[in-house]
Amino acid sequence: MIFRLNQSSGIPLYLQLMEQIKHAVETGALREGDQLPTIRKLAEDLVMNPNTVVRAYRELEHEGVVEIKHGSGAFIREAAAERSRLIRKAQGVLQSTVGRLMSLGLTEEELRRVFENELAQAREQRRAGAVAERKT
Amino acid sequence: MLWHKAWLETRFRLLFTLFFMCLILTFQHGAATTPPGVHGIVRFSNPILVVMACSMLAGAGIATQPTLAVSKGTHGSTLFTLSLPVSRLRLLGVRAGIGWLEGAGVLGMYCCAFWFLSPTLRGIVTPADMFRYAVTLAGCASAIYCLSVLLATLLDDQWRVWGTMIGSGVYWWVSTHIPFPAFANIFRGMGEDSPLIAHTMPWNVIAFSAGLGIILFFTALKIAKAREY
Amino acid sequence: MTDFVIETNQLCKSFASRPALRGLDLHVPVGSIYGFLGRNGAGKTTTIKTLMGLLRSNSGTAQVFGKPVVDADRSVEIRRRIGFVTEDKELYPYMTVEQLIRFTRPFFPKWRDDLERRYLQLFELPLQRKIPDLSKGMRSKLMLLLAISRGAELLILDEPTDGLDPAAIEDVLRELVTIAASSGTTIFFSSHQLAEVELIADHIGIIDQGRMVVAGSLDDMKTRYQRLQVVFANSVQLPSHWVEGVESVRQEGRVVSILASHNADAIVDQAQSLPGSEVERFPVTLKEIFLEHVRSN
Repeated sequence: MIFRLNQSSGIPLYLQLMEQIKHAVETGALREGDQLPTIRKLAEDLVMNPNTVVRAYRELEHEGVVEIKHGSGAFIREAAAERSRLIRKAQGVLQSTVGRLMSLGLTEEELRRVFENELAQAREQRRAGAVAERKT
Repeated sequence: MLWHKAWLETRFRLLFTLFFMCLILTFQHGAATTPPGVHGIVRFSNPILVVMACSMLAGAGIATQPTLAVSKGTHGSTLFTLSLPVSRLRLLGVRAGIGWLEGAGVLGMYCCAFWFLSPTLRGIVTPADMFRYAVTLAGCASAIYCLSVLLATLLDDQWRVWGTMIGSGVYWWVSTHIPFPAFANIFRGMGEDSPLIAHTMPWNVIAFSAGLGIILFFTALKIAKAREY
Repeated sequence: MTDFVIETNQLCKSFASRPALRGLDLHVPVGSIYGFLGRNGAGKTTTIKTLMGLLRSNSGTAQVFGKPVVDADRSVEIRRRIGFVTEDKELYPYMTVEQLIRFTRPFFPKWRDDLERRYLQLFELPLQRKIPDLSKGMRSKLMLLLAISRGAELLILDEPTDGLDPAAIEDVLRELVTIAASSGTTIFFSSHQLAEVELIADHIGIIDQGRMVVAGSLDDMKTRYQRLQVVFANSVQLPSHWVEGVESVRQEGRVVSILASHNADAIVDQAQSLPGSEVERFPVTLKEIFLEHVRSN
C-alpha cells in the first residue's frame, strides 16, 4: 500500500491520508476485511507523526470506513466497500459526460475549472440554505 | 567517567608543567651543590615553584576549555556537559580535584628528582624528611591552588596565572614584612618550618591552608553555579 | 486538561544589550511532536537554554515535567530524563566517538544499547574517529544518538537536522517519528525547515521577537486558516472593517486576496455581500502562516 502525502499542500495530513485510504477502497486496492498498516509502521514508512495516523484512523472509523479492533488493528468495513461500488457507478456516469464535453471542444483545464466551480457553487448553496434555515 | 574526561583534558598541560619543572631543576641543580646550600634554596626557589606549578595546573584543572570557566569564548561543548544530569559541585570538584592531584604529583616528582640530583641535600636530609616535605608542599599549596581555581571561574587563561602569582606574591610579601601568626604563614611552612629544615611537619599551616583552600573552592562553586551559559 | 511536559508563562529574559524573551507562553503537550519556529534571533535558543537551566529568566515561570526550572542543581533529576541537542553541535575535541559514548552512557540508567547500536549503524558513525575530524553533519547525528539512546522521555533538539543532506534528514526524521511512536517520547525541536516541521509535527509554536505569536495543533491551524480569493466584476470599495479573523488583505485591481486565521465562513459571507463578487477558498501552507506572522510588525 503506497500513500503519497504532500505536507506543503496546505491540506492537513490526516485528511490527505484519509482521502487516499478512501480512494484505495474505491478503486478496489483495499477490500473489505483488509487490514490497514499499524500506526507505527505507517508513521515510519511515511515519516509522519504517529498522532496524525491515529487521527486519520479514528476519523475513518467515525465515518464508517474502517473498524478498529483493539489489539488487532484497523480493518476495512463492508459498508465502505459498498460505498466504493457506488462511486464506481458515478465514475461510469462521469465518463460519458466528460467524453461529450470534450468533443464540444473544451480543454482539460476549462473542464476542470467548470467542474470545480460547480462544486463550489453547490457547496455555497448548501451553506446558504443551511444559514437561511437557521434564520427562519 | 568525569575523572577520565578531566584527565584527557589536562594531560598535555601536565606534561608541559613537568617539562617546566625539569627546566627549573636543571638551574637549581647547580645551586644545590654549592653553598649556601639547602637552606637558601628552600627559602627562595621552592615557594616560587609551587606557585607556578599551582597556577599552571589549576589552569589545566579549570581550563577555558569545557566546564564552568569563563563565559567569554565558552567552548560549545560546555553546553553539552552542563546538560548532563550532574551537579555543578561535582563538575567543579572533579576538575579541581584532578588539578590538585596532578599538582601534588608534579611536586612529588620534583622532590624526588631534587633528592637524586643533589648530594648536598642527601647529606643533610633523610628520605623520610623529603617525603614529608613533599606532603608539606602539597598541603601548604592548597590555598594557592584554590585561589587559582577561584580565579579561573572569573578570568581568562593568562590572567588567571598572573592573578595567582600576584595574589601569592602579595601574600608572601605581607607574611614576611608584617607580624603574621605562624599558622597562617604558608611560605614559612614551605620554607623554614618545613621538614627540610625544622625536621617537623607544620600541621597547623597545612590545616590553615587547607581550610582557606576549601573556602576559596566553595566561593568558586558559588560563582560557577550563578553563571549563565 | 492535557498534561504539558513543558510549560512557560510570561517568561522574560534580557541580556545586557537586548531583551530576548518578552513574556513567552509555551505549552508542549505530553507525547506530542512540537515544532518551534521563528526567525534567527527571535529567541528560540534562549528559550531552549532557559528550559535546560543554562540561563536564568528574569521573570515568569518555566516548568518541565511539572517541576519548576529554577537553577541547574535542582534540575539534575530533570536532566536525567531529557535528551538534548545543542545548536552548535560542539563536543569534546579530545575524544573519539567511542570514548564519548562510553563517557555519556553511565549518566543514564535507562540507556538503550539497542538504540545505540542501531544508530551507530544507521548513521555510519566511525567509532575510532576523533570528534574534530567529524563533519558537522556527523556531529549532529552523533548528538542525536547520544540524545535518543539515553532513553529520555523528552527530547529537546535545537536545529537537529542542521548540516545534514536530504537523505540524512529523511533518516533522522524517520527515527524521531519511530521513537515517538514506540516510546511515546515527546519531541520538542526548533527548525528552519518548514517542510520537515509540517511533515512530522502535530503542534507548532511560532516565536517572534521574544513572544509566541501563534501556537496550537497544526491540523487545526491548517483547517482554520484559509486563503480567500475574491474576484470582483468591477473595481469596488473594500469595507474598512472586516469581521473577526482577517489577518491580511491584499488587493490587485479586481482581485483581492484575504488570509483568514479563523471564522472563514463569516468572512466569505461578508465578501459575497459585496456587489459582483466571486469567492474561492484555498488551503494555506505552514510557510504562509509563518511569513504572515513574522513579517516585521
